[in-house]
Amino acid sequence: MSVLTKTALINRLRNPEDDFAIVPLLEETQVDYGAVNLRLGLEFILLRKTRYPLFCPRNIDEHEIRKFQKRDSLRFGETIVIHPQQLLLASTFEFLSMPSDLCGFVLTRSRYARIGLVIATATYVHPNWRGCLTLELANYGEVPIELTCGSQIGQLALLEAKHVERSDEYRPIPIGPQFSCMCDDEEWK
Amino acid sequence: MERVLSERIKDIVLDKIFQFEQLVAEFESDMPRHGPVSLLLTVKTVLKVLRMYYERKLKDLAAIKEDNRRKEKLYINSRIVLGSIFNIHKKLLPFLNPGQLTSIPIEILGASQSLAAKFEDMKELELSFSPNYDYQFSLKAFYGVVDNLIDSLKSDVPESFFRKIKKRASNQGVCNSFAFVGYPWIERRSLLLPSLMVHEIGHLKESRENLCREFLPEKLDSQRVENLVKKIANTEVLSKDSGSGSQVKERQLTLSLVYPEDMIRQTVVERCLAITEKWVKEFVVDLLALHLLGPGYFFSFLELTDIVGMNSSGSDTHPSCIWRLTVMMDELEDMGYLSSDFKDGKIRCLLKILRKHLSNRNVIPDNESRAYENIVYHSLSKKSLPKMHKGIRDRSRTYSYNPHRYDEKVLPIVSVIKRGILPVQRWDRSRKKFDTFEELDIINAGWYVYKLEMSSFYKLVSAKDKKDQQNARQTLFNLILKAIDSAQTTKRWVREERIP
Repeated sequence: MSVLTKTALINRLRNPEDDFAIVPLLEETQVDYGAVNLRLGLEFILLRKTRYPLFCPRNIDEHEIRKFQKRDSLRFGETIVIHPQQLLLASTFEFLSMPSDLCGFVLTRSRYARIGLVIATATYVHPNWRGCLTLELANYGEVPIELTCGSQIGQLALLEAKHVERSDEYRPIPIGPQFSCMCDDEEWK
Repeated sequence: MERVLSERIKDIVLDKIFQFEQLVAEFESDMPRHGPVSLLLTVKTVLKVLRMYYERKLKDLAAIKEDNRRKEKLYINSRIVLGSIFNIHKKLLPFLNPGQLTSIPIEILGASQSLAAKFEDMKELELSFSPNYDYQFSLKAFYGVVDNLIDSLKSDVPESFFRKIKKRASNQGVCNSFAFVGYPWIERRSLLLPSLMVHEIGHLKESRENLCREFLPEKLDSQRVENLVKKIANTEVLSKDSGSGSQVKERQLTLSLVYPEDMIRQTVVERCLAITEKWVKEFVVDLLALHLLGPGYFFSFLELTDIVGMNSSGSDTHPSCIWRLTVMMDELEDMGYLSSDFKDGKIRCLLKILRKHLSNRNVIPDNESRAYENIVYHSLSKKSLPKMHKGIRDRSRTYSYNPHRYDEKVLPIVSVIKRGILPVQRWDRSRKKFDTFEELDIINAGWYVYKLEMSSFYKLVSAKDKKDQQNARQTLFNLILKAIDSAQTTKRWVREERIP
């Protein structure tokens, strides 16, 4: 595995024939050495803390989980406050299309990390993956943080990988944050 | 239960308003360049008022009594949403200067859900990304609803307002003064929404410029009118005649003995004229929408026809789907979409097949039960329709979506979608910068893939069974709607070069 240079990344992003795409790229300055800055999207999934006494994976089905969490959307430039110890699901503003020879890791930009924000815990992005990444925002700091939709809060570090075949299973293309699929786990069925 | 429902309704209604605001914003940026709908600014302003007012007044909404799930669904799906918006309207009226009501050009932009939406259970309403697409629905403009509601609104309006203006004029004032927007929850993630909304936007233009007056037929088909009048006049009415004793005789009367023929003629003509005006409006708006959006609008209407049924024979307010499609097909042919100059063979071929299919269908059933519609059909088809085609073509020359634009703009976007990439921007080698796709081109590309390239899209996402294919269709719609949204944001970013 090796990290791509900034020039190589830009060249690939500009090539319309390449399956690698990060759109819309509002500024080319988002592209850095081996990484691309990602913006906070406009859709969120919030927890409804007052509805359920506890979350129990054994007793929850696909529809119940949607009552536990609620979807909300804002406009570009609007703000949302994340309080200490709060979890918020969001997505990247950019749509990612990963080619078969690249994989990535999502990281919190250090300037946000240093005030206690973590944007992703499931950080690996597979080759051939397409969609807007779901971000698990959590505030581990001690003061509320105001986040602006469209601001650059994360980073996608890109690495060259060996050519990976596409799987034969149905591949959804999410365009916003996704609910937990815990109820699909075989062990709970 | 009430609290839970109110919360849910708030989400749904605000979400609808929000979605439409976004849509209006998207079109707004594109329209001035293409022509007609700079008047969207009005809609946008009204929507802001609605939103603001709605948020403030939500607590005042009547609590919902139904606890039956089915009633709850229907309630949320139609009455509450529309009712709530009317409620806002009702509350707003007293605050407006009555003079404004007649002077501000406002429109009613309708798109309300019929109760026919076949939601099987509540989960469909709760999911933002519902995978199913098999619902029956229709979009309705509701001028008439407002007309009927005016009486109930009267109590909230200053009395002086009604003293000065006759009822009909005040109705018109209200109709021309607000944008009421409602559409099925399920449509918020459907490609039909932005496409058919162009039709409703067309109503704005038609209503403001009163275009239909120009294309109304000078006179009705007099021969057919007379035939119908005679037929009605000679209708036999059974009457009982008391005879002597217990005998009761029956004798035959004709309607002409009860009502004079002139009165029957007047009723027939009035009804035909009312139907004619409404049909002409629909045709004018269809043609405007077709010129604005191109084949995308035709496909969206075809899709809608597929849902409501090809055999739908029309109503007093709308001509039959077949006739509307035929009129649109004529226009597409005139725009050059069936000519060999139009490079894309697939879409040309599809249109030709559809043309053949449509030519074999009766646009209106030639039977007695559709006598009024037949008179209108024969009155319109001779002179009015050709005049309408020409008139709308002349008016839309500057923004008409021609085959050249389709070849140049839509097909590159199709190739992006087929690779599963969000169609928002592309590197322009000559200008050395990223070029953002136009919203109307994105919608057209969406319809192209949906109608012609769906199998390759299924292959892309490995959708093998029916459930996966339904999901894939929804994925395509999501991609298109997200692309429209992102293109809008990107353009705004380029203009302002910052987060607003």
